[in-house]
Amino acid sequence: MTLTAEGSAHRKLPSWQELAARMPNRHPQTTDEELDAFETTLQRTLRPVNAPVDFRQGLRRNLAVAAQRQYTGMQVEAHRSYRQGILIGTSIGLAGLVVGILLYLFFKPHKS
Amino acid sequence: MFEPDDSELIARAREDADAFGLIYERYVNRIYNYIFHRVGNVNDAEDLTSRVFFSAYSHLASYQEQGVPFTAWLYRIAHNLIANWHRDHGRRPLVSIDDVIISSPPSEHPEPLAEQEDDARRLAEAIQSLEPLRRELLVLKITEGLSNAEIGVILGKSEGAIKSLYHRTLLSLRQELTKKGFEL
Repeated sequence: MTLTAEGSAHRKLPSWQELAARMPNRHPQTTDEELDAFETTLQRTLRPVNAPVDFRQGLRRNLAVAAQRQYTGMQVEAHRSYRQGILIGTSIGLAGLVVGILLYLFFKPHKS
Repeated sequence: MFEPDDSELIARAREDADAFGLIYERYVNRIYNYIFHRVGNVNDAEDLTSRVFFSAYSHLASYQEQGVPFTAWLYRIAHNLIANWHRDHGRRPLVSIDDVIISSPPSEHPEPLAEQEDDARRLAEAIQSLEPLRRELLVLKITEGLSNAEIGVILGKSEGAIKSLYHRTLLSLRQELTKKGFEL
């Protein structure tokens, strides 16, 4: 059997599109409309829940109490940082004084 | 009635506890819903919701509105607390399917009603079999109604990545259900 030029043309390799079409599809074509409808189904299924009323009211009260404490705490915090500043300033001053005395003692002219 | 926006309330809440109370009322149900769908039980949902609002209140002074909406900031706090909760409990979130599925509307015909409930149950089971990130995405998108940009802030991903992940999640979930004979 001889192959004609015409016959060999019929046996050409398939294009990549043809190969792709033969491959098993992982995600079968889903239209946007189908996905939108599915999203709606999900919205009907995933039901939002509300916090129990007792819990909500209790937490609000606790937050109000905590807020009062925090305001008090902020004043204490500010007072503490003021005192901290005085302590740091005094410490630096004292350290400077000690260094000054040592330098004076080291460099003072010796009396013969 | 005039309702102040978040920025105004936040500015007031830094000096006035009542203003924070208004913020709390505005968001408590949404935060609770998000947490409940992630942890699956009322006790832990209440505990974590409390912690979210206490944390938000104590860090309110450090919150700066730099392109991040206040809601996303709140969800981000909740997201981190839930992640710690899962780490400490060493378990995946479980939500009772009965708590998730809708109550079917009254029907005169018992058989269609049973079918609807069965469909909803299978759908809820498929959602729960998703990996945690995808399930969290569905909760934020579907029950919370957040935008891709807001979800991106919460999950630390770009808006485009969220859009793509959501699309892929819907596709794979739909395909999974179709395989199981679910009529969509």
